[in-house]
Parts: sequence; structure tokens; C-alpha cells
Amino acid sequence: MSTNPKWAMIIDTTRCVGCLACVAACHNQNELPMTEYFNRIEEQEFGHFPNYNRRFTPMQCQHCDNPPCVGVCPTGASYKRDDGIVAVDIKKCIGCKYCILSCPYNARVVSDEHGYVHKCSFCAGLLGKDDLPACVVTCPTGVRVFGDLNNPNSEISKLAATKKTVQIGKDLNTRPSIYYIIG
Amino acid sequence: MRAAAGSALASGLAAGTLSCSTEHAAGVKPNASKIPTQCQGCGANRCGIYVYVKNDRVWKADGNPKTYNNAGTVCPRGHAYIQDIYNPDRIKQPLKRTDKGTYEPITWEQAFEEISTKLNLLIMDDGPQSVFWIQYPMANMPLAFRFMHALGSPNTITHGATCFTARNAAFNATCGGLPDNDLKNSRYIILVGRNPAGGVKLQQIKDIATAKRKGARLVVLDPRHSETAVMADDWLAVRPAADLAFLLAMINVIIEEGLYDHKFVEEHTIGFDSLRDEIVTYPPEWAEKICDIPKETIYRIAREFAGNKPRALIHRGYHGGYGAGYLNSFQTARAVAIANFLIGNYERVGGLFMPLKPTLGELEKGGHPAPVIPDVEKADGAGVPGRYPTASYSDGIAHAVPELALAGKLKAGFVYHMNPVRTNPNPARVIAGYKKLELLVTIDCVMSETAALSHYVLPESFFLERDDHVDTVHSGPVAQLTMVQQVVKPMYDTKPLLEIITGLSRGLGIGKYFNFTMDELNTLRLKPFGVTLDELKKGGVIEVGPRWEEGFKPCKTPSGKIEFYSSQLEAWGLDPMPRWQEPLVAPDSSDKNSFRLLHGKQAIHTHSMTANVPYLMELSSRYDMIRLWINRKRAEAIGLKDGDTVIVESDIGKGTVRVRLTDGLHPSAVWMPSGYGIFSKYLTTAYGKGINYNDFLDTYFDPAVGHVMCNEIIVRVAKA
Amino acid sequence: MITFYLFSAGISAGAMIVSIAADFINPAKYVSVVRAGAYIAPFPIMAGMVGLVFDLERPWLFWLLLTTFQYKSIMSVGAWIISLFSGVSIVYFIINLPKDYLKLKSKTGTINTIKLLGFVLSTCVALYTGLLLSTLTARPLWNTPMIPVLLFISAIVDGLAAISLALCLKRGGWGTDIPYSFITKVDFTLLYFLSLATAVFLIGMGRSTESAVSALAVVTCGGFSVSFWIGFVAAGIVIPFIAAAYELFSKVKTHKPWLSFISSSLALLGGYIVRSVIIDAGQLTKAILY
Ligand SMILES: Nc1nc2c(c(=O)[nH]1)N[C@H]1C(S)=C(S)[C@@H](COP(=O)(O)OP(=O)(O)OC[C@H]3O[C@@H](n4cnc5c(=O)[nH]c(N)nc54)[C@H](O)[C@@H]3O)O[C@H]1N2
Ligand SMILES: Nc1nc2c(c(=O)[nH]1)N[C@H]1C(S)=C(S)[C@@H](COP(=O)(O)OP(=O)(O)OC[C@H]3O[C@@H](n4cnc5c(=O)[nH]c(N)nc54)[C@H](O)[C@@H]3O)O[C@H]1N2
Ligand code: SF4
Ligand code: SF4
Ligand code: SF4
Ligand code: SF4
Ligand code: SF4
Ligand SMILES: [Mo]
Repeated sequence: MSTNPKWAMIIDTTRCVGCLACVAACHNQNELPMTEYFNRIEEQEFGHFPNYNRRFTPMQCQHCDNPPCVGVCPTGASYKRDDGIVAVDIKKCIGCKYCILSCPYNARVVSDEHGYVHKCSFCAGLLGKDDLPACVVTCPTGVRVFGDLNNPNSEISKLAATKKTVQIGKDLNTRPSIYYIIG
Repeated sequence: MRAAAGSALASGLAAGTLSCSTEHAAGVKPNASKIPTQCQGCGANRCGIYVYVKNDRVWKADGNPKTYNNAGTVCPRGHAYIQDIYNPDRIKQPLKRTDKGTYEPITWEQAFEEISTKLNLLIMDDGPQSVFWIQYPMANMPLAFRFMHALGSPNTITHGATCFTARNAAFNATCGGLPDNDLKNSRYIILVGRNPAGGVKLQQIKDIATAKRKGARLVVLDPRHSETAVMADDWLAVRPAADLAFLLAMINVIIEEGLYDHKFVEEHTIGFDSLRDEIVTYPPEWAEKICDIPKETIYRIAREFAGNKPRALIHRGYHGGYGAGYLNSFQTARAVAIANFLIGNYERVGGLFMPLKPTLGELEKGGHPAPVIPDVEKADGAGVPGRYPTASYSDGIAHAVPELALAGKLKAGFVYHMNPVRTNPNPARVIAGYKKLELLVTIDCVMSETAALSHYVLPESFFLERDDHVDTVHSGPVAQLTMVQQVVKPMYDTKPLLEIITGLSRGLGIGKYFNFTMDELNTLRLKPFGVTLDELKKGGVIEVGPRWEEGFKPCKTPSGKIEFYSSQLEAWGLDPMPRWQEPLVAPDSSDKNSFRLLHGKQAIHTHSMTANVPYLMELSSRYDMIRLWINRKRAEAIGLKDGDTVIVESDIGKGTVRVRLTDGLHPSAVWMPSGYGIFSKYLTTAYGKGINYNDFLDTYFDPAVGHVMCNEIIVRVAKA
Repeated sequence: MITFYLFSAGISAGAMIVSIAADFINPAKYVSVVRAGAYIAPFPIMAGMVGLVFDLERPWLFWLLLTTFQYKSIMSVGAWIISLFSGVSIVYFIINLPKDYLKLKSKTGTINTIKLLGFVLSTCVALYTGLLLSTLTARPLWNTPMIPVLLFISAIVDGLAAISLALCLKRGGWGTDIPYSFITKVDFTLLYFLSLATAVFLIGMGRSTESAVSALAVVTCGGFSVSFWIGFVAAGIVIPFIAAAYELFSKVKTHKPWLSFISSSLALLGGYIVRSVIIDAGQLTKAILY
């Protein structure tokens, strides 16, 4: 980890088998109620029998460097941290849900219990130590590589240098911190 | 990335709780304590996990990086199942069936008292061999053996015949045991109806991904585009039940083109010549018409496979392809074994190898005499020449129980950690059989379909509430010891299996065989390895003995060699070599609505036991997974749209379900996720959601092994 | 609820704009219009704001809106504008009462500043409701410059409709007789522009990105199509437009109150429906990302 980390994730969809372990892990990690989700898997099908393939795409908050959700928040509850993480200050959140409408990735949900809006935090609570996000640790096929882009020796920096990645919804100018490998 | 458990953990536990700084796992919150145990979300893997407890409540689980079956990861069921300790549907005290068919709570004393009295009488009249014990072979299985042998009955049975016995029997006949796959180091991997991403084994899916990263090629032979196929270089949509034709053609090419490992075949195998003479009848030109894979593809795959020898393998398989699926499954599995060993990948890096399993310490050493193993034939005829010679004695034949009960050969039974009424074929028949029993005792945590027709239901403590017998399930390149360890206090008036058996043994006059605690037992089990129970409990896993090393070791076959030709099988009146064999049934090609019914696992469900886990069922509906897969063209031909409800009907069953139209399935089949169709009304989350393939499967016993032939189902599918 | 809020804000702003405009043109001749507008302006928007607060998941924290100013957040800016607008609209209401409560009638300078302020603020409010939506790149149906234009014109139409409705009810108006022809002329022009804006919106979206096209489909052919075509296009534009045209060009120059009653009610209805369609449909549409 560098002194001024820039947290990011690379998601290799060519290895995602859609098992939902990351979804369940996130659920426990964040003690979410059954119907609230910070991450999800989207399935696409291609081609015709027998020339056919599928793709599973893990989706969650992209921790955009130009996050609409932060721009629209009337109280400043949604904010961008120096380490790249987009967070919600629940004390300031009035639950206007404007940020939910503003998020192109449908990454935000209202907390039924508390009324504030919450979402993937990149497991911010765990970082800074050697800990990793719950969804990263549990993935059996190593789809998710998480780390500090400002640290040239980090696994993610090396992978980013060698593999072709894309940011989803790039043309919306959100500048996501999640980079996808799409075969 | 993450420090191995060991010492850090020890100090952590000593301190009572762990703070984030000392550990490197996903998100340890302050004062969450972290306890190593085994996941019981599926009996098949029993992954090593750490369970985190925060203010006395189970919080989350992490994978134990050291355990072989999961290597640091946890599947979705593992995460969800730890929360099932709080499932309101759990059984909270012993239950007795009333005449009205309802259940009344009773004390443990009364339960032990009444059960042993009843059992004593039955044994007096019909003898001990009229008693059986059936269970999924969990770590506690040795307790069941001990209990049954003490009673004088040989009838301990597992789920095997519904799962994998064709595969096991075939590998036994070929190389004298069941080898493991060294996927990680393989350069060419063929999966024949094996889908570790859905029929989860975390280590396997992880190793396949690793091998792929190292440039290995992956071929998936499956009528359905499995979840693992997402990673495949080739998805070969084989016609169901025709894998044997594909494999025979592969063998044909490998032999005809001399691509096999001549030295290995020479030194370590018998029957090659007969095989060569026989195999000429099965060229790819012949096979393509049967298995729907073009001959060019068969040639290519065979050459690529052999070209990578010995670091190429056909996965040993499990359930889906040929575990217990078809009349020809036994021979299909034989062909898998033979195709592998022809390229000399036996006991080779990147090929197949015999896993190292620790042999646990004897109780005699602690002055606890072992009961003599009764020398009577098993009622189900497993391993009995003339009946099911190739069936394994220790697995028995699960779905023979109802038949034997109806025939009056079995009178009383114990069901432990198994739910045959939902997981065996032909529910009506199974229910009739189990109802016929004069004493049925089910030991479970919830009111499964089987529990719901038992005379007595004894609640075992949830796995997070108990210690179990030391386990050897994590055996691979090195032998590992693991165990289920208590994580939180029991919530209800429940007991671990040892206490239940001990309680029963008193009144049955076999108390002298059960006069030890679980700690004493496990200490004795560990003795030979010079490790203490404390060490195991702190680390969660301990490796013992040498690491696996490459190189041929004599097979446990009659000849001590790999047997392409098996005189043993011949003597039993079975094909000594794999020959093409038609499946038992086939869809009616003249009927637009006729399909073969296939089934399979989804990563979020275990057989019949997780549909009632609220969070997993929520995922099922959120991702609309309770659907029957059907080939798009075939579906449109009978006027179906995606999401339509259809009526599925076979000779013995009928039900309705919604369809998923897809191009990822062979036209001749429909595919049903196998985790649904719960009909025990006590399971409030799962009850009535979806249907199950067993509802459509008649009662069959494959002639060689006695397995269920669970894919020999023809159904009519029509718009509801 | 958001619909109601945008709608009421639209009416208030519209009414205010029309009132002040009329006042600039000819205070004496159009006094009825000026006053009707002034009397209407403050109330719908306040009702709307109350509604909005209770639409929050955490209403008890609504005050946070007024302790922060997030210049980037249309909603934050809007909250401030609307508060100011409400204030000014109340003052404007009072100074338009027959009795001179605030003792301002003599101070023309102050009054003019108030009117100027009112005009600017109401223009902002009328624009704001559209900008609130059009700046959300995530929702293709909203993310087009035509939305604010559409809602702006519609706001004035609604304001005017509200005024003429009020005048139909309060027969005789205030002092002078009611300048129907003026109202109708303005109405006619506005509806003309509104139909143009709608046409441009539809054509523009229909020829745009995949996301936009499928988003538009939700409105024009999806479950909302009936409300959109009948409720908005027919009731909200075409019929009132024909009515206005009839009034302007027919020989008979005697005004029929029932006609303007119906057509302004329809205009209001259309104004409500178009907003509800845009709001509800817009939330369903999402950008196609990959
Ligand atoms: N999530 C989850 N994981 C589990 C389990 C669980 O219950 N749930 N159970 C564990 C146990 S006990 C077992 S046995 C394993 C089972 O593991 P697998 O056998 O890998 O899983 P299945 O889903 O039974 O079958 C795998 C594939 O076989 C395909 N198949 C069906 N018929 C044919 C055929 O004729 N030919 C070929 N080539 N393929 C065919 C199916 O389409 C399916 O994709 O999973 C283990 N892991
Ligand atoms: N419907 C259906 N039938 C199947 C299959 C399927 O997928 N679906 N798969 C086939 C295969 S491959 C196999 S291996 C077999 C498996 O056959 P089974 O072993 O019968 O299947 P499970 O559903 O795992 O049954 C486990 C039972 O143990 C109970 N149980 C869970 N935890 C505990 C515990 O800690 N203590 C005790 N005492 N009981 C516990 C569960 O409540 C459940 O009743 O089924 C075969 N048949
Ligand atoms: S755990 Fe990994 S493989 Fe499974 S769904 Fe998540 S990302 Fe995909
Ligand atoms: S993904 Fe959505 S919630 Fe996350 S930062 Fe981007 S806009 Fe905000
Ligand atoms: S819901 Fe909360 S976080 Fe989202 S915009 Fe409103 S105040 Fe900000
Ligand atoms: S990073 Fe943490 S919060 Fe975000 S999806 Fe993964 S587990 Fe959930
Ligand atoms: S595979 Fe999943 S459910 Fe089975 S033991 Fe491992 S973690 Fe638990
Ligand atoms: Mo199985």
C-alpha cells in the first residue's frame, strides 16, 4: 500500500462462473437484510446452439472518479474520498434518493431500516491493513483483483499494465475505478 | 495476501477475541472472535472455514487457506448456511409422532427409553440384520458403523447409489481405487458431465482457473452449457447418454494413431491387445451419428488430449455425466478411466493421482474394544456376487431400502444427515417403503420429508454448536485432518450424534462400546500422528504424513496393474471391456413434446437441504433460477416463450414449472435444477417452490452397480 | 409525489410569470390576470414542498437541505431558489391585495425590484424542475435538453390555465372585465410552442442512442403510451389548442366561459400527466452500458 492509496478493482469476466459467492459474502460482511444488495451478477447469452456462450458480469458501485451520485447530493452526504472510495455519510443523508436516480450502475439502495442510502464501500472498513474486500477473498476463480493503483508493485497495478481492460459506461464520463476484462 | 491461520490464531483465541490488526482475513471487525471449523453446507466438501462471532451472534465465514477442498474460499451456500442456525424451522427438542400424524415434544430420556425398548423387541423377532442405518457419509460415519456392528447389523448405507457408484465401481475395476485430478498442473482438461462451478468443489474450480491462466485448454462435454463452460475453449454439446460413443471414438483414435504412452501401457497395464482389437469398431465416423459431435472435432480433441500427455486428463467425474445416470454409465466411466490411462497420466503431475488419506487411530488403543463386524450379507446385495457385485459394501444401495422394507426384510431404521424421501427416486414408492417400517428414527436439524414421516425425530445440534469426529475428507496430494468444532452455545435442547448414540446404546445393551466423550475419541484418533486435539482445534487443519510423489504405485486390482480388460468383471458376467451400450430409454423423436429430463446442481443449493435457507431461496427467486431449461428452437416449436409455465409429465409424475429458453442446451433434453421441490410442510421457506427430478424418475437398479439411473427419464413438456 | 411537486412548482412559477408579464404590458387593462396570478402563485408550490419533505426517507432531517449549499447539486440549488421564490411570491401576493398592508404602494422602486426578483426567480423555478431531471446521465429519457424546455413551456401553460380557471370561477374578475382575448392569444402561442417542443423531443430521442430509443419506447409504446398520447398530447395540447384557435378565429366574438373552463382544466390535466409519465417512465429507463 502506498502512502496515498488509490483503491481500484479489476474484474475478469472471462473467469466468472456466476456462483454468487461474492454476493453472499458481501451480504454477511455488511450484515444486510435479505432484500438489500451492494453487488450483483448480470448474465448475458451469445450465439445459437451449438455455437453459444455466456458471460457473467459482476456489478457494484464503480467508485467513479467523476461520480454523478456525489454531484447531485443536496446535503453533501455522498462524497469522494482521497483514496478513491465514494462513500455516504449516513448522518447527513436525508433519503431523497436523488443519488439512486443519478447512478447509471444502479449501485445504491435505501436502507429499509434506517432510511439512508447505502452501497458498496469497497469494504472500506477492512482496508489499510492487508485485508481484502469480502467479495474478493471468497471468489474461487480469482475473478476480482483489488488493490492500490498508486502502488506500482501491487498485483492490480501489474495486471492493469499487462491486460486489456475496459471501464463500463465510460461514455457517461463517470470514470469508474472498476476495470473489466471482457473476453 | 492472507496469513495462514496457525500461530496468530492461537494467540488470538488465547486472548479470547481477535482484533483486526493481528489477522489478515476479509474484514475482521474489532471484538469479533474467529473460530476454525468445517462448513457443513454440503457433505461433499466440508470446507475448512473460520466462523466469526460478534457479541455472541454468528456473523460471517472465511475460507481456511490451508484446507484442500476449498483453499481459502467459501461458496455461497457456505456463507448462507452458517446463518441457518437462526432458522425458525429448526427442531428444538426430541419429537414423537402421534396417532394423528402430528408431533409432540418429548424428553431425551423418554426418546432413548422408548426407541431402545421398541428396537430390542424387533431385534428379538427379526434379528439385528432387519435394522439399517442410512446417512450421507459425514465425519461421524464411523460412529454409525460402530453402533450398527455392535447391534449385529451389516446394513449401513450411504447415498452413494443416487450419486456416484457407477463411477467408483468403474475406477475400482480399472485401477483399484478412485483417483483425484491434478487440475492445477494439467495442460489439457476434459470435463465429461462435471461442473465444479455448479456441483461445487472450490479447489477444482480454482485449480481449473489457475491452469487456464497458465495456458491450459479446457474442454467441456455437456449437453448443457454448464457454468464451468464459461471458461472452456470448447463446449461440446454431446447428446445425453452418448458420452460412451464419444469416449470410445477417442480411444479409437488414440490407439489407431499410436498416440498412447507405449512404455506405460507396456509396463503397467493388462488387456491392451484385446482393447485394440475391439476398439476398431468405434471410429469417430461411427460415433458422430450417436453423440452429435462432428468426427473432425473428435479427431482433434483426441489428438490434442494425447498430444499433451501425460499432463492431460479427463476429470474423474462425479454425478452428472456418469455417476448414476444411465444404463451405460458404468461402461462410460470405464471408458473415461481407460482413455486417461492410455496416455499414461496415472500417478503423474497434471494427470490423475491417488489421493493420500490418513488412517485414524484405533479406539482399542484406548481400551475401547471394537465390535465384531457381523458376517452376514448386506440386505441390499451390495458387493454380493449374483446380485450387485460391483456395488461397494460400505455404500450399499440407498434406494433399495424402501423395496426391502416393503418386502419385510428391513423392519427398523435410523436416518442420519440424509433425506431419502426427497433425494431418492419415485417419492410415492419411497414413502410407502419407509412408512412400512415398524420403527423409523430420523436424526436431523429440521423437519425434512423423511423426518416428517418418522416415529421419532431426534434433533442434532447445529454444526456450529457441536464437535464432530475427526475428519479425513480433505485428502489430496497430502493427507489433512480437519474437524467440526463448536463455535457457539447450543440454542435448544439438542445433542451431537455421539451423545445421541450413547444415550440409545445404554438401553440396547451395547453401552460398553460407547463409554467415551468426543474429546477422548478424537484424542485417540489423533494419537498415531503425534498431534494434539488442541493443535487441531486451533489451526482447523493439520497436514500429516508425506506429500504425494509422482511415479507408478501398484494398483489395488487383482493384477496390481491398470486393467483395460477386467477378468473380474467377466467373472461377474459383465462386459470385461467397455462396449457401446444403448441407454435404457430415449425420447420419442416423432413427438414434438418428448424430451429426456436432465438435472443438475446450482451453486446456491445443496440437494434437498438448502431450499429452506431463506437467503438462498431469496437468491433463487431474485435471479429467477427455479426454471426448467429448454432448447430455444424446440421450445418455440411447441409455442413456448421464455418464462411460460409448462406441465412436465412422465410415466410416474406430473408437475408445473416455468421455463428458461436457451441456446445453451441440447435439443433432445430439458434440464431441471435439482435443489427444489420440497414438500415437507414444516420447511416453511421452501415448501411448494419448484419441482424435482425424483418426482419423474421410476425405481431402477442398474444391473452392474444397482445405482438409480437418474437420467433415464422421458418427459412430455407442454404449455400449461 | 415528485410529480405533484414538480407540477405544483410549475403552476406557481407559471402563474407568477404570466402575472408579472401582464403587469409589465398593461397593469390597468390586465389587472385581473395580474391579481389572479399573484393570488395563485404562493400556494401550490408550498403544498408541493410539504409533500416533498414527506417523500424523504428521513423527513426529520429535511432542514439539512437549508444548512448546506451544494452548488453542483441542482436539488440543493433548487431548494434555495424555491425557498426564496416562496418568500417573494408571498410579498408579491400581499402587494397585489386591494389594501396596502405593507405601505409599499408609493415606493415604486421597491415594488419594481420585487417584480423583477419575482420574474427571475419564477423563471428559475420553472426551468429547475426540468433541469433536475435532464442532468441525470443515468436516465436516458430525462437526459436531454428538451426536457427543461418542455417543462418550462408547460409550466407557463399550466400557470395561465390556472389563472383563466380562477377567472372563470370568480366571474367579473377584479375591477375591469376579464381580457379573454389576451389570455387566449397567449395560450394559443404557448400551446404552439409546446407542441413544437414535444415534437422535437420525440424526434430527437427517436433518432438518438440505443439507450434513448429504448427509453422513448417505454413512453410512446410501453405501458405509459395511453397516458402520454391521450392524456398529454390530446388532452393537454391538441384540444386546448383547437379551443383557443376556435376562440380566436370564429366569427362569434362572444366568449364562452364553459369552453375556456374545459380547455384550461384539460391543459392542467395534461400538465400533470406529462410530468407523471416522464417521472415514472424515466425511473424505469436505464443507460445500456455494455
Ligand atoms: N452447489 C452444490 N455443489 C455440490 C453439491 C450440491 O448439492 N450443490 N453436491 C455435491 C455432490 S454430492 C455431488 S455428487 C457433486 C455433483 O457435481 P456434478 O456431477 O459436476 O454436478 P451435476 O450438476 O450433478 O452434473 C454436472 C453436469 O452434468 C451434466 N449432464 C447431465 N447429463 C449428462 C450426460 O449425459 N452427459 C454429460 N456429458 N453431461 C451430462 C449436467 O448438464 C450438468 O451440467 O456436486 C457436489 N457439490
Ligand atoms: N432432490 C434431489 N435429490 C438428489 C440430488 C439432488 O440434487 N436433489 N442429488 C443426488 C446426489 S448427487 C446426492 S449426493 C444425494 C444426497 O442425498 P442426501 O444426503 O439425502 O441430500 P441432502 O439434501 O444433502 O440431505 C441432507 C440431510 O441432512 C440434514 N442435515 C443438514 N445438516 C445436518 C446436521 O448437521 N446434522 C444432521 N443430523 N442432519 C443434517 C438436512 O436437513 C437434510 O435433511 O442426493 C441425490 N438425489
Ligand atoms: S464469486 Fe467470483 S465467480 Fe462467483 S460470481 Fe462472484 S465473481 Fe463470479
Ligand atoms: S457507481 Fe453509482 S454510486 Fe458508485 S460512484 Fe458511480 S455513480 Fe456513485
Ligand atoms: S439520498 Fe442521501 S446520499 Fe442520496 S442524494 Fe439524497 S441525501 Fe444524498
Ligand atoms: S467490496 Fe465489499 S461492499 Fe463492495 S461488493 Fe465487495 S464485499 Fe460488498
Ligand atoms: S462447498 Fe460450499 S457448502 Fe460445501 S462445504 Fe464448501 S463452503 Fe460449505
Ligand atoms: Mo452426490
